[in-house]
Amino acid sequence: MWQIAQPTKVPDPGYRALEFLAPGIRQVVAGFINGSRQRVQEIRLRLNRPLMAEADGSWMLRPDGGVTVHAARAWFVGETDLMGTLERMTASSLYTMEEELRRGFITLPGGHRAGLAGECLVRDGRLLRIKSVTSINLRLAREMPGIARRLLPFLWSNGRFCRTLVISPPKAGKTTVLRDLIRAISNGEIAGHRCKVGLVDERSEVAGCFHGVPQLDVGVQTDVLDGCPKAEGILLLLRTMSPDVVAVDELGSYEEAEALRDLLHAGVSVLATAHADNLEDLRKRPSLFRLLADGGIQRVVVLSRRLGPGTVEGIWDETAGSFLPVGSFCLSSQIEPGNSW
Amino acid sequence: MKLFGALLVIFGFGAGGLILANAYRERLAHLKQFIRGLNLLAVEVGYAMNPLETALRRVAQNLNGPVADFFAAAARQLAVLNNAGEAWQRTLKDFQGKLTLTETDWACLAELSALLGVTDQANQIRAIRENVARLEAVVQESQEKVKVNERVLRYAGFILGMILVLVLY
Repeated sequence: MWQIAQPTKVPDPGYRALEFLAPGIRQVVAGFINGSRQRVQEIRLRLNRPLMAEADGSWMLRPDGGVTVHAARAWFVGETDLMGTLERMTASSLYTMEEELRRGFITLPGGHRAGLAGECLVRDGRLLRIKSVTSINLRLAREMPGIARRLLPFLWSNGRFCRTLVISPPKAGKTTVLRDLIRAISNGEIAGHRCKVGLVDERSEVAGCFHGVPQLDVGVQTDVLDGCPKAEGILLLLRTMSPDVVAVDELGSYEEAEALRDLLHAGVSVLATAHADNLEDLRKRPSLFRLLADGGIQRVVVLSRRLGPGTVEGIWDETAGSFLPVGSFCLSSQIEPGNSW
Repeated sequence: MKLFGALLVIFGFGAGGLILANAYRERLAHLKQFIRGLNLLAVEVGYAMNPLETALRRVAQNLNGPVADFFAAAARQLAVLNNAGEAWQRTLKDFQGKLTLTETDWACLAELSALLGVTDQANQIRAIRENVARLEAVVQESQEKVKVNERVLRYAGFILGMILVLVLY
């Protein structure tokens, strides 16, 4: 008898990230993931303080994996937990992570990222590295392939990808949308227009590179400059990889905006994100204002968390000086209804 | 029959003496191999910047005999346990019967387990070099003893056997 195969649920990345936790807290977090209806976004370890997890709010975890609001009932993170976790994250080779300790984060296999804090070693006013780690924030990478599909048709004009800026406040899904846009244009998901994309991933957040190899899907035609400063990386990609589109996350400084302005006359399109609540906020940022004023950006996608992470509040057409008639909609709801980002 | 028995006693004691003398020489050879291995490990950590598992495996490839097996086993344990200190300790325990080392030698090697893989590059190298220096001191001290004891033990077994035969007769 023929049977139709049932679609299997994609396992929560939290399960895969458990291997980086020390055995004691691994049990606690596993218990929390099993019992939680929401997807875990972050696991926070602070020395001699309660173990916490972020999943649609911050929760202190009890030893059995349940949640509590009383710190006294929570699992307190000991030195063994913290050092054991750090040792697993560094494959018992902390000495190979000096650059990561200077930058304050370690990228892990699977694209997950561990933010670090603790006592810093400073010389001549410059941070050398974090000397002793006392806090670890394990941020779980989550791919949502297809999340940006609804945006794609609005970001093309005359057969070319428009110079696009995605703006939002923190935790509204900028990076997730950026990653999926890169994947889609690199794979040619819109009318077969396959573009060569050059991605400057300064903080290893978009492609989640581990030893330079992308752990997250950024498309078949994407070249990644991992851990490279954005301004330098943009020009380097332009000179060496002849990209059709250059993508960067969290645009901010004058140098970065200037490097993007250089692309205007090089026939290369741009896909970038920036922190801003709305267009007014964006125009108040001097570095980005000049980029907009010079026609460096053709489309601005405004995201928020109003209907959930990845809510599109509007798509601004800079050339027409108005919003496109698309209304507002939530990108995440079309992928997994009811699920937290 | 008596003559056969006498020869058996003399050669038995003689062989015992030779085995003990050999153990002295073997211990020294093993300690020297460990020193070489740890120096190579310092290079792997300090210059090649290889992760510890790879570093231990590469050290094993450059050594031979049971000490090479020790480093290879430590790399395997690390891959399984994900904890350098535990992997080092467990390998030390597993090799207690396979290497001719004294309690002091094992204790000296065990000191590395507290620091291996969990500090920055400079401190890793310092810890390994300190361990090497301690082993070198042990080797120097032993070398004098070995010179005297090895010669004594080599002949003492036979002489003791002969004395025993004379007393029994």
